[in-house]
Amino acid sequence: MANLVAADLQTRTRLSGPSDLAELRKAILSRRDPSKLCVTICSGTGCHAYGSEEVYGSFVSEIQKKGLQKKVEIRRTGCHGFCERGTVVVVFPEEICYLHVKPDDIPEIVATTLTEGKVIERLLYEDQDGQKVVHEGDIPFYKHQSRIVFGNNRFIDPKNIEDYIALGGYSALAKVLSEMTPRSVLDEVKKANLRGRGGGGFPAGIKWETTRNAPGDIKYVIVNADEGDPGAYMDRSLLEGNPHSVLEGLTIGAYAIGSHEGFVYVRQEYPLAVENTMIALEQARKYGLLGKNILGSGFDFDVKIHRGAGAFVSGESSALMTAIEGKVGEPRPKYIRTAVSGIWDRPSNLNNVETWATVPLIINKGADWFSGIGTKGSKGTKIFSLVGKVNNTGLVEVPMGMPLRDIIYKIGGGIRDGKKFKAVQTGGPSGGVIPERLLDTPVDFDELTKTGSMMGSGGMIVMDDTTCMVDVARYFLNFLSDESCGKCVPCREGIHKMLKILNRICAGEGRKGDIELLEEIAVVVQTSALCALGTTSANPVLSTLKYFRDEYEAHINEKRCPAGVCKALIAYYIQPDKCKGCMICLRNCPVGAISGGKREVHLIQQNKCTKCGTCFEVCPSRFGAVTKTPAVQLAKAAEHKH
Amino acid sequence: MEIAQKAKPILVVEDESIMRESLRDWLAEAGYHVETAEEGEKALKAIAERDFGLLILDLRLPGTGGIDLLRQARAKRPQLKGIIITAYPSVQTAIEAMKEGAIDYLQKPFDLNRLEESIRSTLGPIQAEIRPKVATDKAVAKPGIAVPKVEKIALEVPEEIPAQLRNIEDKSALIQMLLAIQRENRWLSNDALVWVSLKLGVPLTQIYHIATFYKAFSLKPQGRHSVFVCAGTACHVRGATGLLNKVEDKLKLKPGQTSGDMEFTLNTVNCLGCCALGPVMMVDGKYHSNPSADKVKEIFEACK
Repeated sequence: MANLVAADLQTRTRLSGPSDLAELRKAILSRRDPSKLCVTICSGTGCHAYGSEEVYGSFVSEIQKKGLQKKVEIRRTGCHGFCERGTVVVVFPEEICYLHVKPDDIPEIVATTLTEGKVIERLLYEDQDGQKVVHEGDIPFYKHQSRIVFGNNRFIDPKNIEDYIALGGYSALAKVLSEMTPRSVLDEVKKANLRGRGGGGFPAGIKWETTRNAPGDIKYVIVNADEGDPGAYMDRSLLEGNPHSVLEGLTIGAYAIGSHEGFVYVRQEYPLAVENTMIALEQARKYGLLGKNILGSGFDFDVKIHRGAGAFVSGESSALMTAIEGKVGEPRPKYIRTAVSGIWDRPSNLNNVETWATVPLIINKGADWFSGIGTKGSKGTKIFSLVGKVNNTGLVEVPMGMPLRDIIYKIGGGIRDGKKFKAVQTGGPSGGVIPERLLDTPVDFDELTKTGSMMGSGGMIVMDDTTCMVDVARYFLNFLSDESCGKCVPCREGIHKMLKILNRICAGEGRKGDIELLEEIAVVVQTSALCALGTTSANPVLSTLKYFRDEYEAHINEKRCPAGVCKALIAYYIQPDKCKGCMICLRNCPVGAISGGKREVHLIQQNKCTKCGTCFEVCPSRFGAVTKTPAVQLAKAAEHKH
Repeated sequence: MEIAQKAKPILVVEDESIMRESLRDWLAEAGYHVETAEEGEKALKAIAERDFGLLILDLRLPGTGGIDLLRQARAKRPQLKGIIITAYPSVQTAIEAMKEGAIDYLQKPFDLNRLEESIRSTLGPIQAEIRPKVATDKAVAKPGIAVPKVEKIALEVPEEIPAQLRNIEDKSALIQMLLAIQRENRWLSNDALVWVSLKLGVPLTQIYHIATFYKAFSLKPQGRHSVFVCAGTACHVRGATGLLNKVEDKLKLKPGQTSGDMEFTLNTVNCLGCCALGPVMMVDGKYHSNPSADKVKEIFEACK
C-alpha cells in the first residue's frame, strides 16, 4: 500500500494537503529499515576540511568491493558539531561513533564493524580516565547538551528532502496551514517568548506583529545568514546541514505575517550553504511546500537567495535590506523600523537562521513546552560555537541558563595543554570578555549583558593565560575599523583613534593617560554612532579594561606583556644551562639570528631576531631551552653585564 | 550624435554655481543630455526655443522663483514636468509646487539615487546608446579618470561577462551580477563594470561604490590560486598571526598582493566559519587546519 502511495507521489510529487504529507512520510519510512546498517559521514565544513569527501569516497568503493551495497546505506549528513575530532563517522543502528576517521581506516571499518559487527577501539572517544565511549550520545561533549534545534543535522542528508520529511519535517507547516489562523500562529510564538538568536535578543513575536500590522499589501520575510561574527559558525552549520528546517520556519512566519515573498541572505564565504539551500528550495517547490497554493491551502509563498559580498556591516538589518535592493549595504538611521519600512520601503521582517529553525519546534510541541526550557527571560536553547583554547571545540546546543563553567568544562573538557583559563569572549566584536570569577554566570540574554558582554549570535571563544587581553581588544578594533562603513563620524573616527592607542600600547609605546583617553572616546562612540556596529564597538575595549586593567597597566608602565604575546615587549632567550647545542633552532631560524655550533650553547642575536617564535616552537620539549622573557628584563640583564 | 538628439534634454535652473555644475556633471555622467541656466529669464528663453524633457528648478532664484518659473514654462509647454529642489523646504511651498505640476520636491542635500528615480519615472530609462558619447566626452574633459574604449563596449558584450547574465535588466541584481563576474574572472575589469552600468542603467559611480565597498570584489586581476588565511577570533587566539607569517614567508607576499607570475594571491579573511580547526587557511576552496611550515610549502608546491 505504502509503495503504491509512493509510486503515486513519484508521478505527482506535489502534495495537495496535510494528509498527502503524512502519507508520503509513511511511505518513506516504510521503505527504510531502521535495523539496516547505515554509515553517516559528517560533511559539515569542519569535517570537510579534514577530508570527509575522501572518507565518503573510500566507503563507497570499499563497500562496493565487498558487495555490501544492499546491506549498508551510506549517508553524508550535516555537521555533527564535534568538529575538533573530524571526520566524524557514526554507524547506525548501534550509533557507534568513530572520530578522527581517515580514508585509510575505511577498509578496517568495513571489515570489522560493518561485516563482523565489532567495534574498533582505537577510533572511539577516550575520556580523561582512559575509558572508551562507544555511542555518540554518551560522549561527554554530547551528553550535556540538549540538541533540539541542531540535533537532526546528524541524521539528515541536507540534499534530500525525504530525510527531513521522514523525521516529521514540514508537519508544523501542515498544521499551521490547515488548523491555525495567522493570528494564532503569532500568538503561539509570542507566548513562547522566542527571542532573536542573531544577537539583539528582540522578541520575534513582537517583531512579526509589527510587520503584520504595518500598512501595505506587500511584505517581506528574510533569513539573515550573513553570519559575520568572527569565531561563530552556528548558522552556517544549520543552514548547510538542515536547510529545510529554516525554510519551514520562514514559511510559517510568512503565513503569520501575511508575506508572500522571502529572501535568504547568505554570506559570500559560505558556498555550501548557498548550494544546499538552492537544492532545498527546488525540492520544496517540487513537493508543493513552497510556491503557489502550498499544501492546497491557498497560501502562496516563495523564496529567493541573495549572496552577500563580504561586508560585516551588511549583516545589520537595515544594511542587509539595502544590499538586497542591489545597493551598497550601509546602515541607515532607524527612526522608522525596518519592520515597518524595509526592502523597497515595504514592511520587512528579518530573523536569524537559528530563530527561524526554532519556529517549527514551537508549533509542533507548543509554546508551553518551549518556555519550559530556559530561564525567566530567555527561553529555549541556544547554539554556541565553542572554540579557542578549549579541548573539545565545536558547536554545542544548551538550554538557556546553563552556567558558562559547565559549557567550558563539562562539554568543552576544559582548557588545552593544562593551561589556566583566563577569559571567555562572547558576542563577537560587539561583545566582551568574561573573567574566571564570573564563570558561573548563566547563558541568558540579560545575565550576559550585565557582565558587560552579550549573548550575540553565539560565538564563545575561550582564552587561556597565553592570550593577551590588550591584544584581543586591539584585534577586535582592527576588525571593526576595517568593517566600519565610514558613514558616521563617531564610528569611523572613534574606532580609528582607539585602535591607534591600542597599537601604541601593544608596541610598548603606551603613555600615561592612554587608558583614560580610551575610556573617554569609548563613551562618545557608544552614545553617538549610527548603528549597532558603532555603538557596541567600544565593548571589547571597555570589558577588557574592566576585568584586566592590570594588563593594560603592565604594558604601559612596565613595558611588559604578561601573556607574552605582544612582539615588541617580549624577547626569545636560550637558557645556556638547558641548551644541548642540537642545532635545530639554529637551522630553522628564518633570519639566521642564532649563533653557535654543534654541542655549543646557542645564542640569539637580539638585534637580528624578528621574534617569529620558530625557535620556541622547534626546541624539543625535553630540552625546553628557548623561553619568552620580557624584553625589558633581557635588556637590563645585558646592561648589567656591560 | 543622432541618437542623443532624440532624447529630450534636462534643464537645470539653479543660481548657485557649485550646485548647478555638479548636477550637470552628475546627470551627464548618468547619461542624460543637460543644459543649465542660472536664472529664470534665460531659462524661459531656452524653453521657448526648444523642447525639454524635464526641468530641475531651485525654489529660490533671483527674480522669478522656481514655482513661478514652472507655471510660466508649463503655460508655454503644458507637457513639461518639473522637479523643485530647495534648502528651505516648507509644507506650503511643497503643496504649491505640486499644484503647479511638479512631480517631486526634494530637500537639499538630496540623495542622487532619489533624484535619478524621479527622473527615470518621468523620462524612462536612459537610452544606452547615448551614453558612450557622454563618457567619451568626459574622458577628454577630465584626464586622469580612466574610461575604457567605450565605442566597442556599446556594440559588444565583453567576453568576461558570463552568458547567464547577458539578459538581466533588473537593477536589484547588481551585486549578484558583480559576484558572478568576479567568480568567473577573479576580478572586475573596467570593461565589465561599464557594461553592467549600461545594461542596468546604474551610474558607474554607484557601481564603483559597490565594487570598492565589498571585500568579495577585486579591481585588480587576481592570481590563479587564491590563498586565504583566516583572521577570525578563534584562529587569532590559536595563532593565526604565526600561520600568516609562515604563508607570507613562503609566498613572499603580503595580504592583498598577487605574485608577479600571477600564480598566487594572498588575502586574509575575517572568518572562514570552521572555527574549531583554527588556525585555518584556504587554498583554492580547500581548507587546511593548522599546517606546519613544511606543510604550507607542500600545499603551494602542489598548486604549481
